[in-house]
Amino acid sequence: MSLGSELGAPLIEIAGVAVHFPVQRTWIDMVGGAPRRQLRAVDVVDLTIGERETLGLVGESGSGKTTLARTLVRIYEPTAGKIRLRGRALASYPRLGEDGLCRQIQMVFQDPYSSLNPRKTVAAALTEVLLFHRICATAAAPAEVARLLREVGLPESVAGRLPRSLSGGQRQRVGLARALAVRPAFIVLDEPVAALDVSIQAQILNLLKDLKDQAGLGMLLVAHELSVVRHMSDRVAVMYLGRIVELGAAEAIFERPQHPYTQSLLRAVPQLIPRRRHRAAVLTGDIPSPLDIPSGCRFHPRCPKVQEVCRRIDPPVVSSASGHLAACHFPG
Amino acid sequence: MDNAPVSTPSRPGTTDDILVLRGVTTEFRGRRTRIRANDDISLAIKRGTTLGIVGESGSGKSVLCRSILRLLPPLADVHTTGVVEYEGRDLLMLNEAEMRRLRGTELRMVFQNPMTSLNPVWPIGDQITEGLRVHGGLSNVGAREKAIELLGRVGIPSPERRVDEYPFQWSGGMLQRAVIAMAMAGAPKLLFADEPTTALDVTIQDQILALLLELQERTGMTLVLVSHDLAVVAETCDHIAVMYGGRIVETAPTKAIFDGPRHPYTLGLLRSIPQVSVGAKRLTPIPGQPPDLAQLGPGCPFAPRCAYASPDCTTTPIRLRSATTDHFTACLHPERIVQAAA
Repeated sequence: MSLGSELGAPLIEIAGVAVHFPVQRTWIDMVGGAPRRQLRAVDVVDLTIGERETLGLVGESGSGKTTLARTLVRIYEPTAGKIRLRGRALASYPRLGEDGLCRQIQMVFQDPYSSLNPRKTVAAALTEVLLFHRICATAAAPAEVARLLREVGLPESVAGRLPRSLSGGQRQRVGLARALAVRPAFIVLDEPVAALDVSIQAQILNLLKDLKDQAGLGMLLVAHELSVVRHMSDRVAVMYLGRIVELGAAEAIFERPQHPYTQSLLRAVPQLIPRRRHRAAVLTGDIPSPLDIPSGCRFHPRCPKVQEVCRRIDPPVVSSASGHLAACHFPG
Repeated sequence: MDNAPVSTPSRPGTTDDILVLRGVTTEFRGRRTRIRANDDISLAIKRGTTLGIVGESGSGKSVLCRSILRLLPPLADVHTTGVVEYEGRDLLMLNEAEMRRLRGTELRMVFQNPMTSLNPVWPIGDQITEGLRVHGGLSNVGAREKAIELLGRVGIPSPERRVDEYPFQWSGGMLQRAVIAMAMAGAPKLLFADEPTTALDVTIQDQILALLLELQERTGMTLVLVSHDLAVVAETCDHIAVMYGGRIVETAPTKAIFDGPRHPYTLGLLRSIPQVSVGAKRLTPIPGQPPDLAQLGPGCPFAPRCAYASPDCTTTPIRLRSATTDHFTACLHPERIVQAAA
């Protein structure tokens, strides 16, 4: 079963993907005969992302969203299932070369302070990518660097500077320029504005939006901040404990959420409306450990609508007429 | 009206105010640089209310809390001047023993990252009641009972079982509750919470904010909530002070700030934040970067990024002035902002 998108042929197809990590046993565990345990970070996900589509992926920490994102750039390998890029298995692509994976998929990391080499100037960092991947000849590199800097809204004067003399927002722009240098078809953005100040966030979000419109890129946007996801995404997937619990058009997810988890998540976001709150918290407790996933519906211990059946049976994914999916026994 | 405290609400320094700041200035001195992290801060906080201090990193909001509680590192060349009047006493004039006593009881602070305010090799229960054992003469047995009670009050399930656990066994949200329990142990009259929910998920943030407000309602304590998130303070605070470049640039009752901002930075913030309730429209970012505090000119620190600035904005020193009885702004042209916001 794969979840279709209406925005054209799938660029990325994630089919039945699971990412499990074995947990190291201490010798005491082994002597005591404790069973081998698996941390189920991503526990069977089906998803497609269309050409030029931006899919927002939200969830609390521990939901597996970063693991899924990293699996798409083959930092992790799926334990089960397949990921296809334009119909061809990710694992069958060469890493380098004209049709290599690195030329197709790029990633921008959360922390612009730790993802740039502190001893390389901006120009050197970008030139390295251009030459290594043979995007252009050595002689043409400076012009290409200048073009990339323009594309991400940086003045050409930053080319000779080191990351330490750049602000957080500028560094994130350099991170983006580096990802764009190979002219990828798909970019994975892992919390791209989480480390930035509010007044700078808006600058980067606008830039991402422009790139999305102009460069014709497919994007996976991982963020815990729902407002950021709403602002950027065509479709939104909500993840909880390794599963996608709801998927639909951004508008539908935010206006008519079907899954009680999505509903709680949305209600928990503080609004920019001055009113003294007089309500209890919407969800009690923490997200359970992915080492010890609850039976039945994995959200049932925290769910305000929980029924007997939820404790026993994992809910099937139900689709409404508009293609809006929710994994819940009692959606709506 | 030099150093007249800007009061929220207007009465300057009445007995209604639990804390009054007059011209508080904190300077970090280096060999060649002088950084004014707080510049001439005047403010009054009414007893039993919640004040939200909003600003970006580097705006001086955390330094302000630490200046008030005198928690800035003693080895650094830091100088705080002005008056910090708490219940009629100037905290800056107290000796270290008196100050320690206040910090252990009436004046408490909760920090952003609970992991750094807890000792990883001590049971959580012991840490919660350390203050009571030191300042309240509580016995060890009594302290354990008290710790269980406090953990229950901040919503830790089965506290009698968990009181002996260590920080690594708890989640971030639970640790933040533990740190709040630690603060509540002293029965504080004034609690400073510095970004208490920034490291947390939105559902956990929701729980912690609900807890802080519930504790406030029950004990009548005054709360100062420091946050970079305008939405968080919109929902929780009676008054808001917006900080920029080490100064308070605007302060007013919460509703007044949101309905009619009178400082361009506040207006810019309100316009640049994406909202869950609004679909994808283009944001209006504030251009440029926050200022380098070592290189501030004589005028308004926001002037270089301000669309409404006039030439004298960069040259005239600007103080917080009253716009209405309880709305204060440090802007030369508040009428332009009112017009732009409308």
